[in-house]
Amino acid sequence: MIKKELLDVLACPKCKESIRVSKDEKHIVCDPCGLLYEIREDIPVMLIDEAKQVEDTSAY
Amino acid sequence: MACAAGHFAKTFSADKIYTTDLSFNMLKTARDSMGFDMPVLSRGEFLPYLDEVFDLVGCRIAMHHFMSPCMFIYEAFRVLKNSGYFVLIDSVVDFEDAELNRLELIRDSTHRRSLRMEEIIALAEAEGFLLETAQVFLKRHDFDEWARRLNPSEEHYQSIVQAFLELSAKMKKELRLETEGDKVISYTDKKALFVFKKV
Repeated sequence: MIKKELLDVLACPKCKESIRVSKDEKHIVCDPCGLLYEIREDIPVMLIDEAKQVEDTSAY
Repeated sequence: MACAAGHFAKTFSADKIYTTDLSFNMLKTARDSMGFDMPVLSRGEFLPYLDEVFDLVGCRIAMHHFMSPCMFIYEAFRVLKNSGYFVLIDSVVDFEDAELNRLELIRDSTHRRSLRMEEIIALAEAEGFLLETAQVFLKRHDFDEWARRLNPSEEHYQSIVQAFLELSAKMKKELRLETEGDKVISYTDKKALFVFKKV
């Protein structure tokens, strides 16, 4: 589980905007960029070149 | 930033400490052994934090690995609150820097470049940082421990030894190289501590 204090300051490394946790809690979601960042063993992997690009983030 | 096992972060008295590193294993080590439970895997040049959220950003002996120190310093400035502090420690070169950086690169292919002190200060001041303190200190390296830290092959190790032995007399003196025949005992390099304030 990622702590709230971390989510409060975490941002997308690309656009620097706020993010959210996906519904299945497996990704950090940046809605403006359409990027999904993997959460691996409760550690967000905030690498732009490893993020998954999706057309629509609403399903996540 | 680039917290590794978390020893540098541990030196700060803070209510909350956020750790980032490019190594997943280092983040896990810092979490499991030091209790830093807000880890994030990221590059220093693309910090995944909102603007102006931290009172202090610290980074120790890592910037010489970064592809762009300029972008890292920009990011450190961005995530700091006004009047926040940026505490930076890194290897510095002030003499034959191409040669010194070549030695580091022979040992560690992730080495990019150790900067000169004036370069670091200029980059930080260009972002708007005010230099509050800068201090240089010497660090003596036990050669075998240093050269074998990344588990090189014997051939690789010997190439590091040879690179040191083939240095000019001027460079050997600069690095305070201690040798016994064909064996390198130690060398000494320079580190610098900077405390910058966001103004």
